[in-house]
This record gives sequence, C-alpha cells and structure tokens, in this order.
Amino acid sequence: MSAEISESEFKRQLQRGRIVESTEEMTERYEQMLRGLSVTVAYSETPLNFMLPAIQRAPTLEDRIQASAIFQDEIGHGHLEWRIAEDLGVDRREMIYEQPTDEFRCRYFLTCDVETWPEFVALLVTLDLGGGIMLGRDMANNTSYGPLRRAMKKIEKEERFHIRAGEMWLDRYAGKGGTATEKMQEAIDWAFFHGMEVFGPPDDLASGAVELTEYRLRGMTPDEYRQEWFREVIPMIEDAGLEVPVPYRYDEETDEYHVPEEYFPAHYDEEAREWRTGSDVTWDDVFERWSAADAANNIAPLRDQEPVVPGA
Amino acid sequence: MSAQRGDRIYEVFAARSHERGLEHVGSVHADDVDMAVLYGRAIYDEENWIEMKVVPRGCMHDTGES
Repeated sequence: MSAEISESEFKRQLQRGRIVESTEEMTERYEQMLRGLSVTVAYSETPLNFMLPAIQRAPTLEDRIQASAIFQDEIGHGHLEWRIAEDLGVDRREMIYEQPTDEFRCRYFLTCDVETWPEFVALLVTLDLGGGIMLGRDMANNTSYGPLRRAMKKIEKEERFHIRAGEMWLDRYAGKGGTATEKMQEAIDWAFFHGMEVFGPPDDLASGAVELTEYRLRGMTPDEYRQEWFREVIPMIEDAGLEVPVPYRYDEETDEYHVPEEYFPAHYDEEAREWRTGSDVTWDDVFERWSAADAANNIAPLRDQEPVVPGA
Repeated sequence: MSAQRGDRIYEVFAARSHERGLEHVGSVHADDVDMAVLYGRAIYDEENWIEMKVVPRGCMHDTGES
C-alpha cells in the first residue's frame, strides 16, 4: 500500500524532517528508491572475501586478530542491511545464493582483491572512510527512513574504529622508511582511485543519487561526499608523510578540492591491478567496467594462494 | 507456535542506562526465540547495553494513536 499524498508534498515534508517508519507511509517511488538503496548497501557488505588474502598476511598475530574483528563488524553490517531490505520485500537468500555473482549490486572495489597488508591498511583509511561518510556521517543522521537511520548508528560507530585502526597502521608503515614506506605509498596510490570513484559519478551524471537526496534517503550528493572525503583523506595521507597520487588544487574560499580531468575518472587494469590515467578515459568507460564486474573475481586469488606464516 | 513468516522477525530493544530506558535498535530474523536472543546479542553489540529484549514482531500492536 502506498501513501496518498502528492510526490512534491511528500518530498517537502521529508525535507522538513519527517521520519518514515513503515511502507504504509511511503509513496511508490520512495519505496522503490529505498529498496534499491538498501540492496546496494547490503551487497556492499557481502562479497567480503576480497579482503581475506590481505588479512591472512597480517604482520603479527595481534594485527590479524584486529583485522578479523573488522571483518566481523562488516558481516554484522550486512546482517542489519539485509534485514532492512527483507522488510521491503527482498529475499535475502535469493539475492546472496541464487543471484549470479556478476549481478551483485556492490561497489566496484569489492570485486577487486586486496592482496597485501599495506593494501588492507590503505583500504581502511580510504574506502572505510568513504563508507563512514556515506553511511555514518550522512545516513545515520539524515536519512528519512527510521529503521535505516537506527541501523546506521551502529555502523557509524564501528567504521570510526576501523578508520582509527587504519590511521594507526598507516602512520606506523609510512614512518618506517625503506620498503615499508614504499609499499604503503603504492597501496595508497592504488586505493585512492578506488576511493575517488566509490561515491559515484559527478552529480550531473548521477540523477538517481540526486533523487535520493530529494527524498532525504541520503542527505548528500556524490560530489558533496567526495569533497567531504578529500577534506579528510588528503591531510591524513600528507600528515603520514606520503604523497597524494593526484595533483589536486585546493580552493580556500570554498573549502573544495579540484582534481584534473585526466585523473578522474581513471581506467583500472584488473590484470595488472593498476590505474591508468589520461584525458581519454570517459565515464562511459567506467560504467562499462562497473557493469562487467563480477563479485566472484576476488575469489580467484584465494584458490592458488601460498600458505602464509604470520610475521614471516 | 504458528509458522507464519512474520513470526520469525523479532524486534530488538536495548537500554544504555536505566534513566534512558529501552529503545528500539533494530530487528533480527530467527527460527526461534533462543536464536533471536543469540542474534540480538551478537549483532547489536555496539554498546555495553544494560538490558536487551527481543519481541516477536507479531506481538507488537499499534494502538492507532499518532
């Protein structure tokens, strides 16, 4: 059943702070957008095997326990998000076990494996920070769907721990010198580009994401997320003594960062696990790469992995 | 117990302190009460709750007031 209210009046009420608790209070379009959003966030906590190779290469047993706890947190987030999707008529079992893995609506970086420990650390300070901004800072405080807002409170809290753990490891390896610093820089170079695109394309190409803000399902647009992310991740990388892999320009008046077009969007070579930049890369290329991605890609490295002795 | 699908959803309530009382924190999907208690504790572990309760969704009734 959908609410008998005009779409524009409903949007106005939501902008004024109205909280929706059940499907009876929603318009059809709101319910459709909410269902899409919850499935996407739930899928983005599901093919978590992508980080296993890195966790298994944790340098100490203590690090490995901490990384496993982070992994477990993410599984918990998936539980909350699938629970919300179920209330909107989604069949969790079908989505996870019957849906072909190339149709998982997860973020692209989850289809790429995280192979080394520095890459895991870089993932925490870039992608967990991105998730923390979208789910925690924004949705936990702004989303108009009550159950989602409450679920995001827990996620916000835990993502903050992940980012803090990431920062601690980042400082440790970046400051070590020699190979450790080099590997940490390489990992940041790799993760930074994933981070820039995780929020989606620029607002003028992201009409769906903008519509989410009209229903206050999200409070911020992709470009606003990206700016918020730049404002944190750039000083974090530089304070650790590393370099930001793109030549950015900071505008003090607007407090905004600008990245030249030849660096964003960028092309990702999945075989070489390398980003290629250049002004010839278009958003259509990126959309094609995203839709061709398969959540099972990241299982391959697990199959032929050598056993790893912690600390070796 | 009836095997209605709605019976397998349990609402989870928890309290941070006695002053603040129970608040709704989310829900779990479980085959029985024991599993619902276990899932509730395992999934909603973000606070040191002093109390947590799970209630079958079908046992919650709206009084019609808003």
